[in-house]
This record gives sequence, C-alpha cells and structure tokens, in this order.
Amino acid sequence: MTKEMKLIAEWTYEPSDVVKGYTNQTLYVNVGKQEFAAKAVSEEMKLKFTGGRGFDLKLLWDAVNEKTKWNDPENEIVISGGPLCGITQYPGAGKFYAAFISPLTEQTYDSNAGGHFGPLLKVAGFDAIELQGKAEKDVVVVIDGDACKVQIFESIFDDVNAYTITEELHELFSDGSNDDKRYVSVLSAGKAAEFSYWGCINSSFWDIRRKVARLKQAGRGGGGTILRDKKIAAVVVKSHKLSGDMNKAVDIKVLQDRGNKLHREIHDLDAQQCRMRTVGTPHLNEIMNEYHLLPTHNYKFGAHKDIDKIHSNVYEKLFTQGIPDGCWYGCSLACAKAVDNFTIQTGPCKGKVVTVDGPEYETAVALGSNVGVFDPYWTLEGNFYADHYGLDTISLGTGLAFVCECYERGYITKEHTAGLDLNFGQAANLMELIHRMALGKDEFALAVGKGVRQMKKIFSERYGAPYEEMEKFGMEGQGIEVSEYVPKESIAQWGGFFLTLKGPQHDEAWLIFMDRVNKQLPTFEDKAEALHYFPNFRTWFSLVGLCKLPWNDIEPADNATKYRPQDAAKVPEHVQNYVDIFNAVTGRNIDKEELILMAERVYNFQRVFNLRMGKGTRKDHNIPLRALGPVYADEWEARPEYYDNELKSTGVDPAGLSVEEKIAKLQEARLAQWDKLVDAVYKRRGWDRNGIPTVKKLKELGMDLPEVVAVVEKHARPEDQWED
Amino acid sequence: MITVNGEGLDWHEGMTVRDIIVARKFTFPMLAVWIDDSPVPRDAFDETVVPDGATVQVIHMISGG
Repeated sequence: MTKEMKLIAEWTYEPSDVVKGYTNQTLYVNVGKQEFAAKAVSEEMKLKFTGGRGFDLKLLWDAVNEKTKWNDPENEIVISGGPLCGITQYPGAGKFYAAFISPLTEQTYDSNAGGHFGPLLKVAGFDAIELQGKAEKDVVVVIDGDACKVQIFESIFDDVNAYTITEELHELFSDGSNDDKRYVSVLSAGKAAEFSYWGCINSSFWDIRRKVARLKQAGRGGGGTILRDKKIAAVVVKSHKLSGDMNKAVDIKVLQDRGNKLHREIHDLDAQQCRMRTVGTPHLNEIMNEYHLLPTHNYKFGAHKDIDKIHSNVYEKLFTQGIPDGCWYGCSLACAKAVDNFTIQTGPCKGKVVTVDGPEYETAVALGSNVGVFDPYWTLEGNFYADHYGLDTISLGTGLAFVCECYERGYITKEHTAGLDLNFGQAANLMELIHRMALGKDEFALAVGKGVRQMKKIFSERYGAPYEEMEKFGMEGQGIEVSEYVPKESIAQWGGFFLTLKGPQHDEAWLIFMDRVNKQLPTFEDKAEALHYFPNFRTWFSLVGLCKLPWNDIEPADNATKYRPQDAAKVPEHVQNYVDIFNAVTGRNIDKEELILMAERVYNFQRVFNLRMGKGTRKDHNIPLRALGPVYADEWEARPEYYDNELKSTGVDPAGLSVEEKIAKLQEARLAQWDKLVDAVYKRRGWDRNGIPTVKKLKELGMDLPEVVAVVEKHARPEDQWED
Repeated sequence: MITVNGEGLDWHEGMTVRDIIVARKFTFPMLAVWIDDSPVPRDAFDETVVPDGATVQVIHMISGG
C-alpha cells in the first residue's frame, strides 16, 4: 500500500535495543532538508535530564537560538517517553511528552499524551525524536522499527483531519488485520491546526475491541499548529517488538510487586474513591460545582443551576462500560472513556456514526458550562470535532467563553462575527464557529483561533473593543488559556496556574482544596512550599513517561489515617512506589529527595530556557483580574454574603459601599496578596525577585552548565537579588 | 461549638463526623478526618461522635491530573 505514497527520502539505521529503560540514542529528522541522524545519549544527559520532557528540552535548546520563532524552520517538535515509558506492570506508563517553541506563548511548551506512540518509538530504537525543518508539500514521516528505516513520503491524503488520516495510516502500515493495527501509532493534527494556534497533537492507539483508532491528545500549547506549519500530515511509528519486558528492567519482580499492589487498590477502592473506571475524570463535574469551582460563563461563576444536566451520572450512562481502557497496556485505572455509536449532527461528518474519545473533565467543562452549554450531546460533538480538526479542547473552550463574554458585553456584534449570535449558550452557533475555524473561513474565525491574548488585541484594533476591560476577563497567562478550575478563591492556586513555567494549565499544582477548604497553607511561606514541592513532583512524571492520575486519583485504604494530613496529601506510599519502580527499571538508587532533585534540574533549566527566549521574568507571570476575584457586579451578587466576608477579611468594612466599590477594594487587596505570593514563591524556588534562577541555585542542582549560566548572567540584575 | 478547618461550627449532642460533612456540604469522596489529632477511618464517619469543643480537620485529598 505504501507504493501509493511517493517516497521522498529514506534512511536506514542501526537498531539499538532497550536496556534499563533507555535505547541510548535519539532520532533527528529534518523534513525540509530531508536529513536524518541518530544522536547518542550520554550518561551525563541521563543524569541531568533523565528523559522525556528533560530530553525534549535539552535537544530543543541545542536546536534553536534566542531569536527562534514558533514558525521558523529550526523550531522543533521533540517527543520522548522517558525510561519508564512502556512498562506494563505499573498503571499509567504509556505517556510521551512533546516540547516546542509555542505559537501561543513564544517560549518553551511541553504537553503530554497517552496512546502507544511513546512506547512504540522506544522499541523502534529511539529515546526521542526531533522533527525539524519545513517540507514544501504535505509529508508523512514513518519510523519503521521492524525494517529499521525512517522514511519521508509525500502525503496522498486530501483530508488531514485526525480520525480520517489516522484510520487510513493504521490500515496502510499494518497487514490490515485488527490485531496487527495495534503495532502502529500515528501522530496527527487536523485542518484547524493550519489556521489556529490551538493546534493539538493527536496520538493514536488501535482499540482492538472496538476495531477503531482512538485518539489521545498532547493538547496544549499549539504543537499541532507547528506540525502542520512544517507540513507534516502525520508521523507513523510501527514495531512488533512490544513485549511485557520491553524496557529490560533491572528487577522486574519489583515492578510486578508494586504494580500488583496498586492493581489491588484500584480494584478494591476505586468505586468508593474517584470512580475512574466507570466515569473517569468527569466525576469532578458536580464536585467542582458544589465547591464553586466549576468555570461557568467564562469563569464568572463557579456553579450553575443546570449542573444535573452534565452530572457525572449522565456521562456514566453515555460511556460504554465494561471495556478495558487500552490507552496503554496494564493500566487498570482505565480513565480513557469513550462513547460509542454516536451520530454526528453537524459539519462534514454529519450522519456518521463514530466513537468519541472522552470527554475528560476539562473538555466536559470547557465545551460545557464555561460557554453556557449544558447539553452533553453538544459537548460530545464538540469533543469529536476538536480532536478531528486538531484543536486543544481546553483553549478552545476558554477561548470561546471569552468570545461569548465579549459578545454579551457588546464589544463584538453579528457584524463582526459573520452573522453569528455568540451569546453564552448559543450551542448551534458556537459549533458553527468551530467548523469555520477548521476551514479558516473568515477573518473572525481566524482571529478566534489565535487565542485570547491575540483576540484582545485584534478585537480592540479591528472592532474598537476596550482593551483594558478585556484584560480583566481574558483568562490567559503567558499567552495560553486557563484550564477548567475557577482560581479566584485560592491564593495558592493563583500560583498553581500563574506562577508556572508555561502558563495556566493543570499540570503543575492543584492546591485549591489544600489552601481554601482544608486551610493547610495559612502563610505565604506555606503556599510557597507547596508551590515548590508539587510542581517539581509533578514534573518528575514528565521526565520518566508516566501519567499522574494513578498517583492521587486512587490512594491506599489507610493513607488518610496512617499519615498526618500534610503528608497524606503527597500519598507517601505511592511516592515510594515511584522511587522503587524507577530504580527497578534503571538500576539507579534514588530516594524521594533525589526524585525532587531530578525534577528541579529540568524545571530550572526550562525556566532559564524561557529567559533565553526573551520571556521568563516577573513581568511574564501575568494574572487577569478575574483570576483574583470578581470584576463585575453580577459575579459579586451571585455570592454577596461570601464576598462581603472576603472583603471583611482584608480589613475593609463593606457597609455602605456600592458593589463596584467593594470589587475595587477586594481587587486592591488581592493584588497586594499576589505580589506577596510571587515574592515568597520565587524565594523558595531559589529565584531572584525577577523570577530568574540564581547561579547559586543552578550550582546546587548541578545545572550550572556554561551555556545556562551565561543566559542567567546576561539577564540577572543586582537590584533583584535577595539580601539574605 | 467545635472548630472545623479553623472555622467555628455549632455543636449538638450526638454530632457525628457525617453530620459535619453534610453541614459543610463536603461532597468530595476522598476525605481524611482527624479529631483532636486522632484519625477517623472513612468507614467510621457515620458512627463517630464528635465531642463538644473538638478541633476537627476534614482534609480533602488532592486528585486530578
């Protein structure tokens, strides 16, 4: 079948077997120059960068310069799983991490996905792949791990949308049988990724029970936009070398023991804890609503009267039950839900019966309450098309919510939106806008796809919308849209979203309960400690190829009574599992402190990398006012007693003040708290007042590489250093 | 009067851990409860009586990826 695609370039490589979790070589492919290379992985690279996102950033650093823009040919998409990626004994081990210079944030971004691409890339012989250059015409890159060949084909596909091209490529690069298709995985984006900065990277696995391709997404940051800018229609990896011991672990019995223990916990306790196996992450829908944390109408409100329409019980009935997950072998947590036999109602696939992958919590809310739509069938259709067109559902939902608020406030009208009424809840018109974005159909659809930060500028310059007002409710940080939790009630979560490496995603720290409900973080130093530990602990997963959900979406039966609350939040037994399985695969001898150190090395390297790209200082840690508190009267009046008490807690008596005056006073107080938080966090992380890692810190971490120190010394200012 | 997560809550005779959870609308399933430095197993929330003046921590464990 590959005869139908014209071969442009081919390269044969020496196979490198996996030993202790590594192949010890990475793959370089330049689709513009049609060049290939294998690069050796040194022991020092493993010690300093571990793997996964660490390898990605190291290779990306070497590939770009301080002037590189997202659409320059030297920008890369680098993908790596990490040394634990592919183990089948412990749940959640099929992740890869992709890093690149983002079109949204103009600095480094990393995003992760399940599916089988990461493990298959490793058994094909590589710890990472760099994709560089720009092709002249659409191409398909193929890594054939059986034949040890890397090939670039001219694409034959008129339709690059994800489900279409993925299914065809699973067919093309297998013998056509259901069983053989599982040895293939495909990366793709979709048509909308050509016109939008929200392009996601879809990563497939073949679901042998459903006999369809399933898609997981490295959704955030615009990786799919870069893929299409490089004119890469798809990347295919195939290998039949998959096995239960593909990583050639040093001590597989430890893997089996820790894995079996966790399987038992999941089997015995999941139904009473997070119900991941029946509902997945949408179990949070009604919980977030109860705690006023459910983004509703562009984060104005945290709860809604129609919550029952999107309750987890509704999704539980929609999800097909009783079919193992398949996201990666051995993951009994099985959160990757799917809705089968769903009939598409609109757009180019209208009338087609499909399997919809998801929605996860974030998508159920982004394409739900946040845009004022409480119709799960609409959400499912939006989820399907976002994946198919290659759009990040989180940025899409938060971006559309911003559009709705601009429309509601009269900043944009039908005259600007090509005739669409885009008030909150206008489900049909919002879906039409998604279709228009996929086609790059009109200037409004193109503007929306550029993201909230660009929309603020475009709506102001083109339509006369007031920029300062949009700054208040445009929910973005560092250029990327906020993920789906209301942050305004937790000071620590301001940091969890807005004092991050790459903007407000839910990848670094989720501290709302610890801070706001449990009252475990009373001081700024307490909050800073949490904003040191959790982002680094979570970063570790990205270095080794693991999913975070089995860490804390299931916990041992005695976790809540065996450990004091502050420690219980870390799930100590699972942390020890991670230490043990890392050592069992790699033969190293880390402990839980070394685990954090490994992460801190890469975390600080990435911070300096952003500095190198002209970002990465205090001014880049922006926070919209709505993330701090209410900005308009309707938000305050939705919970007047609550907010009056909040104002009292800052020392201001609300009696006699108008709502507008109360909002101004609370915002003033919270901005002062934000400044205190920033100082405390920077100090705890070993950064100066301007958010730059100090040379002293880099030395402590063993990351005082000459090129890294040079960047810090170029930007650090004496006045920003702490006195003590 | 008892203290729950640092805030006052009216106490009544026979008050159980479950009563506190209901009163505070704590619907999250992964809770760790401590009464005056003693942990309470989740399967004992319904019958564990809280004494007047107790300091109660109802800790919501983190979840989510």
